[in-house]
Amino acid sequence: MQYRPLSRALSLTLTLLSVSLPAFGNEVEIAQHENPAEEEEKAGTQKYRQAQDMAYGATLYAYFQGNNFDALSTLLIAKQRDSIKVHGDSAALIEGGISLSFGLHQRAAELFEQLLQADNKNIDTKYRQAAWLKLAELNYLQGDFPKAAVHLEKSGAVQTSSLPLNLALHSQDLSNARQLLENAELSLAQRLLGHINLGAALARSGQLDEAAEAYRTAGALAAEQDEPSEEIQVLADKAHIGAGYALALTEQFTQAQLAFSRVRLQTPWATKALLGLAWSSINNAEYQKGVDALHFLLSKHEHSPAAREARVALPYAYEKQQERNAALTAYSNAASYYQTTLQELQQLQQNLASEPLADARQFGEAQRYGWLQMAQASPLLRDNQHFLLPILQSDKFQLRLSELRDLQQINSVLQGWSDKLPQLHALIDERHQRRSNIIEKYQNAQFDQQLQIGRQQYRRLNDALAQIETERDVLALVKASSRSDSDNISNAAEMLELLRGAEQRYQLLQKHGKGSDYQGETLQRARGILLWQASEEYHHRLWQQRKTLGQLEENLRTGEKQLRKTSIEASRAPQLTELTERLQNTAAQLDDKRAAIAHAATLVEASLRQDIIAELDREQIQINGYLAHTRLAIARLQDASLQESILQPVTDNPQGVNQEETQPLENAIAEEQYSEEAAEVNKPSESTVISSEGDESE
Amino acid sequence: MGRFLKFFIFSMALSADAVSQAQQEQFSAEQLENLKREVIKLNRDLLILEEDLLYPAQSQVAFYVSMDVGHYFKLDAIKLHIDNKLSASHLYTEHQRDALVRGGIQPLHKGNLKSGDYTISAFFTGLGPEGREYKRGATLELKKTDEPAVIELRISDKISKQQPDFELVQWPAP
Repeated sequence: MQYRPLSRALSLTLTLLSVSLPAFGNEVEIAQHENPAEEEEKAGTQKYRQAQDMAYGATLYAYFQGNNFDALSTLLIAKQRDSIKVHGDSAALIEGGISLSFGLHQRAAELFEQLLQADNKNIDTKYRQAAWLKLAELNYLQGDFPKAAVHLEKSGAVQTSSLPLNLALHSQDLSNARQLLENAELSLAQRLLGHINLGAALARSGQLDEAAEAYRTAGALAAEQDEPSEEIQVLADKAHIGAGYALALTEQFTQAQLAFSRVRLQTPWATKALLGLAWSSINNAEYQKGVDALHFLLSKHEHSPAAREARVALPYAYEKQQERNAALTAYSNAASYYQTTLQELQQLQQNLASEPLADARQFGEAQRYGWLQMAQASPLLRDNQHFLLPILQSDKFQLRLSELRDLQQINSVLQGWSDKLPQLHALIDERHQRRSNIIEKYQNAQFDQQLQIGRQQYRRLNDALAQIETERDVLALVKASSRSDSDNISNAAEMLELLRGAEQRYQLLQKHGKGSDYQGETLQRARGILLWQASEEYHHRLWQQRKTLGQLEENLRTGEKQLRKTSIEASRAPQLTELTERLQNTAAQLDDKRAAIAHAATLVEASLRQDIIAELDREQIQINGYLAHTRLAIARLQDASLQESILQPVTDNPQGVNQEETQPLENAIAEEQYSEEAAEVNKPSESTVISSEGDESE
Repeated sequence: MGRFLKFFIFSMALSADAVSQAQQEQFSAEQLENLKREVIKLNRDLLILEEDLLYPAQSQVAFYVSMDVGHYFKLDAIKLHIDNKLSASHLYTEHQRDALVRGGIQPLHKGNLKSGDYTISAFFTGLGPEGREYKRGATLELKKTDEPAVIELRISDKISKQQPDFELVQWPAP
């Protein structure tokens, strides 16, 4: 009686362990901003803290929503880019946990073993122990029990884990299991489950009294709780049901009734308890109690597997109460119900042959929280869950269904990539084209020469302006501004040029003794006027030159930026080529992998479908058994009525008139139904009917 | 009478055990695991390739949402604006909220920005203390360089004020 898939339990434990890891680092950081008392209060009231690495947090975000594939992909990208800095150790553990959830058992084992390698000394002891324990649980899951025991010993968790108990139960060492259960430091839920599993193992080995005791202990443990959680109440219900059947099998019917009556009625498993209660009551000769339980079961859970058996049990109880007519009617109703159910089962089998069990298109976007949620199941499975409940409740079936949906999810992801790859190719081509255009436009000798000239001009002007400003040389500024477009500046420069020419000629004349004072004075006056005019315009010209310098600088910057961009684009050529190669490599793999995944999904789905159809076959065999029993009972009752009517003289009993009026009518109806059924299935011969008379319903 | 009870218990046990009998495996578990591992690696390579192509490191900007505790705020929606233009928005389901509260970090948006100055604004809508409707904004002046930028939209509890706190935090370039 394992009620939770082990892999899910393992990964859940890992998750809880890993989410508690970020807490320490964050507390330290926050403590710098808030007072310690406040922080203490905060730490005391909260359960979870945020992760310290974005990639690690993103992995958890996907994992907590049940998306193992995305979680693993995110984690692998982070590992590839070495972007997990703070949670390195826990990332390995969480990868192991997610791998386990995703059915990658071998990978999970590798990761745990890597964590535990002798040279990996930096890892914290608690992580090592957790890894040993997970490895032990993984070995247990894979059926390697001796290895599981060795790893369990190394984990140091013998007292705190339920794994030793499971190992003992598996090896049929029940006395050791009992001992372990008494000494282990387990949570209440784990102890309850331990006692229930022990009870089941004892019952299997035929020790029914001991089994009943183990179940009772579990029930008593739950009863000690003032406000038990839902989990405890569920376990308590299971314990009561187990105890009830163990007691019923040892013919302690009163005790069994008591155990069954403790199960909560508003639960899906109440059907088993009601059926058990009914049979225990009938076997304890408390027929009315049995009838009441069966009526309740049939009214509240009419399509449950237990209700099928209840339809046979009810007329049996009527028979015991000597209510032959009621029994006959109930048997007839049961027979017609069984026939309808058989038809429905056959129809369901036909439909299942073509219906997808897990439609990726329908569930692709849905988040997955346990495969038992019928809202997310295929509509055909959901609508017929009363037939499929036994197989849907099986852990093994659910794990394989989960496997199928994982494969379908992978297939749809790969399909998405197939659709996307042409776009990525187009993007790379576009970049190639853009790069070529840029290089063609800017990466040539002419552009370099222009840039060189520009740099020289800038340097020259900058130096000249610096000197002019230092010496406040207004005439030098006029000369420097001569290249400007402004008319005033050009005129002044021209005048200065003329003056300088005249002065040179005057000096030459003076050297030869021919220059006059008047000429000298005129030249001085002209220079003075020019100086005055240049001084007046100095700031304006200086601003103009600064502006020109700024523009030159801006042009140079733009040119250099363009040059850099061009060199970057040129250097990207190998990157683009590499991206193209990577894209081609992955595209080549994509088709193969898609085909392999689709093939695997088809095989898993076919296998699951075969299992469901086989289960429906088994149900049909069971229902046919009930139907045959029902028909025999109808024949037996009719035969008994016939015998009685023949043997009973009409004249002896005045009330017999009334009996003749009513019974033949009912018998006629029953006979009519019986003749129809008998025509279809194995016709019971007279000798069968006679031999069954007086026999019990077995 | 007892035989009848034993028969039905046996039949129930038989039906429960029988369902777990698997069909003959045509695709071994090891083969399946290897295939899944190869596909995960392929998906990783494709995701890296796509990121390298669509979001080159020099222009990449990534936004993440985190929630520290979340006693005072139940997140319903987030809108992200870059220079007053809506760049991303998200409506949260119960499961997504739960994943955030448990320590998960949501990758909200990834995009490209040229080097320069930007104003990043985020608007958080949800239910505040005592179930009141609550809408708050937070802003960050981002100076984008040639390095990739990582910005966290952080929701935390302010115990002293018994109010939620919202801030945008720029992480060092990875």
